Amino acid sequence: MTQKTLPQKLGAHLEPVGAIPVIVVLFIIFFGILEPRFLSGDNIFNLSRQSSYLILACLAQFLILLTGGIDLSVGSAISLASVVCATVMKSFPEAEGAAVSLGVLAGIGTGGLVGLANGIGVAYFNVTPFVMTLGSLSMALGLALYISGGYSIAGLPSGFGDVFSYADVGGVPVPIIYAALVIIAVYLLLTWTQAGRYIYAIGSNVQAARLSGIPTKQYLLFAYVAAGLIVGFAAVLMTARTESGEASLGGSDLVLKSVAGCIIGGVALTGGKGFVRNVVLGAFFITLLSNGMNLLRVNSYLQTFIIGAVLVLAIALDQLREKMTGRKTV
Amino acid sequence: MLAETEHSVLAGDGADASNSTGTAGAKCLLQARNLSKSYSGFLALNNMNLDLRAGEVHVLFGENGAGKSTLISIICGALAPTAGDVVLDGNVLQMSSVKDARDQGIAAVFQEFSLAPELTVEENMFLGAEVAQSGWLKKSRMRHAATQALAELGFKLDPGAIVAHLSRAECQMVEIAKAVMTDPRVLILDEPTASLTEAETNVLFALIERLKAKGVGMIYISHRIDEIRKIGDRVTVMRDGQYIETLDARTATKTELVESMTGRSFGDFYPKLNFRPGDPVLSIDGLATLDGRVSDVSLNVRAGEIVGLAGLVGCGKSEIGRACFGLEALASGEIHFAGERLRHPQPRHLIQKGMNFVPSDRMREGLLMGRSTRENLSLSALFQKEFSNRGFLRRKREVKFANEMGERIGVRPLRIEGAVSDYSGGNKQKVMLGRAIASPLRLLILDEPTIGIDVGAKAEVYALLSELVQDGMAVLLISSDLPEVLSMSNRVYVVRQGHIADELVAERKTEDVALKSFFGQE
Repeated sequence: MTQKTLPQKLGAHLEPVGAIPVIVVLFIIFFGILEPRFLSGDNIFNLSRQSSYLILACLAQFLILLTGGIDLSVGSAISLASVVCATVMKSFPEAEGAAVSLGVLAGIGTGGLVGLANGIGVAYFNVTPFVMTLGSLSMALGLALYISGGYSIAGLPSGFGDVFSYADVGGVPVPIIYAALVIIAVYLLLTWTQAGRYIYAIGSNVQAARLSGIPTKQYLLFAYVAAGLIVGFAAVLMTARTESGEASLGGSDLVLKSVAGCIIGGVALTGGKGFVRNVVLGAFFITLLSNGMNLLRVNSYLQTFIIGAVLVLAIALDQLREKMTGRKTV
Repeated sequence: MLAETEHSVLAGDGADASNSTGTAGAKCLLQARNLSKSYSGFLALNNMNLDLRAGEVHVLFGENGAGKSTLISIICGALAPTAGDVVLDGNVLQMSSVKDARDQGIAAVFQEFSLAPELTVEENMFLGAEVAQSGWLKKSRMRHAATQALAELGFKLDPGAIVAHLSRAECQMVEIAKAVMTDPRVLILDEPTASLTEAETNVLFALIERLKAKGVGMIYISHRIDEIRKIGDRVTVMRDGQYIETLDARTATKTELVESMTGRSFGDFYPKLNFRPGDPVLSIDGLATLDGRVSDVSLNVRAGEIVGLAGLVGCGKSEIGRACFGLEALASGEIHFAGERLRHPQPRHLIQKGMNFVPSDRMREGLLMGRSTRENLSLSALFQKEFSNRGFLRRKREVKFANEMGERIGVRPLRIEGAVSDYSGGNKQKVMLGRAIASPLRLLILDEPTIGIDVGAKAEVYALLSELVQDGMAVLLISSDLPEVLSMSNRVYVVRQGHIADELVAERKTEDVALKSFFGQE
């Protein structure tokens, strides 16, 4: 009875992996053929480095999507954290080391605070995640513009840019290393800790989780704060890259891209489903798409259109797959 | 794509449904011919045959996962078969949707409701078939027709009521009304009485009789054997997606049906229980909930006994159990558990103290449907040292535990990494039970633990309960299945309109006495 055929076995192994690795490889080949420069060592390096920032944003978004929510405030939280990070750093002109450390902590902390606010609203005041993060999107952006006065905060210590953006360790640029550390941390959190298991449980069925004795509100809050800290860290790395704090750093397309990366990585919008690895690949795919289109000189307005279309297409294909395999139809 | 399994080797044997007893001579209305359905290599339905005559009630009987739902989904157009035909009046039907089937006169009432909760009863009844003139709704005409239809059916429902505010039983009636309004020639009813009270069931049976007289053929799925004998003409038994046999519904005995369904013979259905009650584990004194559905309830449950809560659907018995587990806001009264007063009961604390609760709604409150069986089983026990250390999971132990628990509770086939949503109702119920008993336990509260599960799975649930009670656990069994609650419990409290109407012990623990107190003396 339990004997399985080869396709079934293959299917069972492939199912958690999904289509995303295949798509990534196909696109690399596709861009490589159209534009050989795409496959140059420099460009691949550049691509990995570029994707680090989106990977962080996607991981933060992933934590929230897992709980069944959505975080629309990712972009403006990055703007706010960037501005706060830069402002704090410039407040201590005489001690560079201390200034950088405090600035970095302030940036990460700001992200955490936005997450905390979102989490309190969602978990304890039952504001829907959509509305809560829509509100904090506006609030964070407003604060960022208020603090910065709309100007970029330049003149940051040069050590900051080195340590968080331009240095490399054994030839590997630091942003990639930081992103890798966060990927490992999120993987450990979700797969090997009680908190991670509870986040999946809450997203899958919050009522069942509560009845199973899980303090759902606390863990919901935890997910938002963790996501916020990752966003804050991403803001610090992005600030180091531009060497200035900017209210325009997040931008509205970051929210779209972070959601798109997760969806393409197979994360369910209804919550409780998704893998870290596939989210990372999803984020990588989005960056790859932008990078490839840049090399092919696709009009930048058209690029915006294409990213949106890819998101919709990914969801449509996912629904179609569910229908074809007969799953989820009860 | 179609995988070769040993199912198909058996295909075609003993699958002839035409030589059956019952309303002989009546013409054949609908036929399922050699229907098969496979899901990525798994055969949910294997060369199934069924014939339905005009004016008969043809019961489908089988365990959860036997393929009944797949069969009726194909007949009503919701699923396309992998092979085989549905034949109506001798013509092979080409259906690609439920609407196609409905146009052919085939209507179905499923267990899972297909109602729009925010619309009214009347709007739901006309959903997809609104009376309209050039796009404008004829509301007064529909209101009139709906009122008339409901009156004819004998359903006491307000056509203007919002469906979300109705009880499960009332939703069921709306579903039935909606199906009957299309004037079907074939009507499929999937466990229609599962959530109905006695009185409502009688209304439904009267309706079925009227439809029979009109020549409507009905396919009726039910797990209730008394019901099958009462209204059925023929019974077709299914097992493992295959046709087993067709019997005369009036003469088929319970043993015959159960053995045919499970493919094994049963001794006594309910286990023999010898209770040795110890100290009270749970005592409730003057309990009332804020919503008023429970008022002035006092009862106790002792170690080593099963105490039943019986009563009509909606009488408040379920809320008593939920209140103990912290799921209902309390107004007054005291709950003592294991010698300690619970002031603010909360699932988390109670589980750690040794109380657990198995809810009645597997989908909404019970399981993490998209997650694996392993994660579902261990969920409420992860706080223990055995499964986690400073917040980090001990996954090897968890896997070992899930395998052992799966064996113990009889989940078959046991695939601990597969999504729990792929399992049948019986297996899902077992997983919920397994989760509840995963951590050390003194009291288990079960809300409708056997609703919608087959007889085989029921017997296993009962066996597990009896084992737990022998080990000294206390069980509060809340059930609308009267024979079950009477046979399994040491004492039975009857709940009527939110309060305890009676306590049945020893020779007073009979159906007669229970039913009388269900409805009160008047």
